Amino acid sequence: MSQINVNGGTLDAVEQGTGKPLLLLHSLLADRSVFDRVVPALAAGRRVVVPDLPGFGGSSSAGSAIEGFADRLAELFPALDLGSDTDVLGNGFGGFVASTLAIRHGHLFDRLVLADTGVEFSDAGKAAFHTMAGRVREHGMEGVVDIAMKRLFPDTFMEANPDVIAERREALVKTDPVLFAQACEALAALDLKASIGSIRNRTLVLVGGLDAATPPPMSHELARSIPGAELVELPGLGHAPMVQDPDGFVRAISGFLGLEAGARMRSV
Amino acid sequence: MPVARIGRYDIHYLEEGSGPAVVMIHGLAGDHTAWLPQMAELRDRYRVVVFDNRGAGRSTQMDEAVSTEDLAADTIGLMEQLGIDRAHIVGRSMGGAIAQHIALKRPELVRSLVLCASFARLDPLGHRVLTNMREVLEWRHNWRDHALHSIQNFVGWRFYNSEPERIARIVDLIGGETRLPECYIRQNHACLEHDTLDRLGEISSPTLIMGGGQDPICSPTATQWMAERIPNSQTVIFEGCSHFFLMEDADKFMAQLTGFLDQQA
Repeated sequence: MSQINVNGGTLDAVEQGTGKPLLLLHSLLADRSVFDRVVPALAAGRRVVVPDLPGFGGSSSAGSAIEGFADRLAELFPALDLGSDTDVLGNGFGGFVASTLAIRHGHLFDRLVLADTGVEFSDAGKAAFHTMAGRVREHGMEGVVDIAMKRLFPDTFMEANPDVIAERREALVKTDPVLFAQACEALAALDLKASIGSIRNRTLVLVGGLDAATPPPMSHELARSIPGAELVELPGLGHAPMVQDPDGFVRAISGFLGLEAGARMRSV
Repeated sequence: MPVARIGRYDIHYLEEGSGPAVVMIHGLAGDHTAWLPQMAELRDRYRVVVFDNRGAGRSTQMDEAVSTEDLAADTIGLMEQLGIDRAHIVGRSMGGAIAQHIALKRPELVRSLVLCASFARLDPLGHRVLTNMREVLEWRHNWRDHALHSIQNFVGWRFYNSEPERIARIVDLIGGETRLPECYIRQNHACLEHDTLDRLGEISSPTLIMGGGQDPICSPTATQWMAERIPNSQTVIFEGCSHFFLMEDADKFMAQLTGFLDQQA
């Protein structure tokens, strides 16, 4: 446990490796452990920092507006001495936070990877978050874990990997229902259309071809909206490629983040 | 000191020990003596060759245009004369630039490559700093002023501020140079012109790249440029040390060097 006091609250973050920092922001239906399968490979050449988003795990709430989440994460940079050579990777909800961080605090970091996220949700998508928030308030996290797994993973993967699904369910039920509902509200309310084009960080947009939570068209829109952004679609993968195909995920971001060279460098 | 005649030049060299050959190439300033501590350590299991580049130490000094490729040809000539057909090539600063040309021109001669405080292309800061040092010599035309104006580029702030006696000794060493300033100036230009960056992908030998985290001549930028492009390479950054990290953290340097060389067996 590594609780860091920042302005307005606390962030719980773990670190592994040395070198250029790489900040990983998890999705709504997960916590930071969703990155466990890729951290070792990434940490071979980078200082990997994985916080629990505000309201998750040991991190205190930052309210229910996406800006609050991003501003809280911005506080992590001076607190952990993360220089402007830091790269930021966000998945799903973490991707929306990362985009907002780039919009509001882009000077703090270098490159941006947006995995399985978008610019805003359709009306149906927003309604789904309201529904989830309602279910969680009534039935607790147990009320949403089944839907959550379906949003995260393709059916075929779920059938073939019951142990992975069990692990993800276990991680998800630990989330505080009140704070989870806050995150749902933040996602329902967000609309980055007006400001997404102002992002100046070099950006890679990734999406799983079978992503049910943030389908590929959302990433296509995102890539079109950010100047110079690259787009890569990962066939057969859902909303959590770092769980479904850890090696494939690392390969997909390796060139963009210069991981190869980083893995061959160390400090003494 | 034995002498080998390479083309028009007398190259003074030393050869000690037996085992796999290690050829060590010094940099822009200084001469073979830069490598004596390492030679002493390695000679119990390696055949170590160190030498004065043309235009340095006791080797032939001529005021003429020269490139790092020319200096690489000298090293290759020396290896051929000594009957060395494969060696670990260790180069420091300009010596590393020379070593890259050897690896590109005659890859079969290179068992492994060690690039210390070196560059494939000088980054903007390195370019500026190297030019500054040359200009002091050109404007003042004496080694002592050049030395006084150069040393803060060689060691980190901690060493500079806490080791006044060692700094004074380095000033005396460089300040007492008997070498032709023109040779330094010509080779300084050779460094500014050296550019193997786009060809580094051709170097297939196992390579160890070492750089000082505070080195303004061969900064982490220049080190990163090489690290990204040499495929079979590892890179070690000496935090808190500068261009002379071999001296600032001598034990750590020796450990990294011998660790790598022994690994190549």
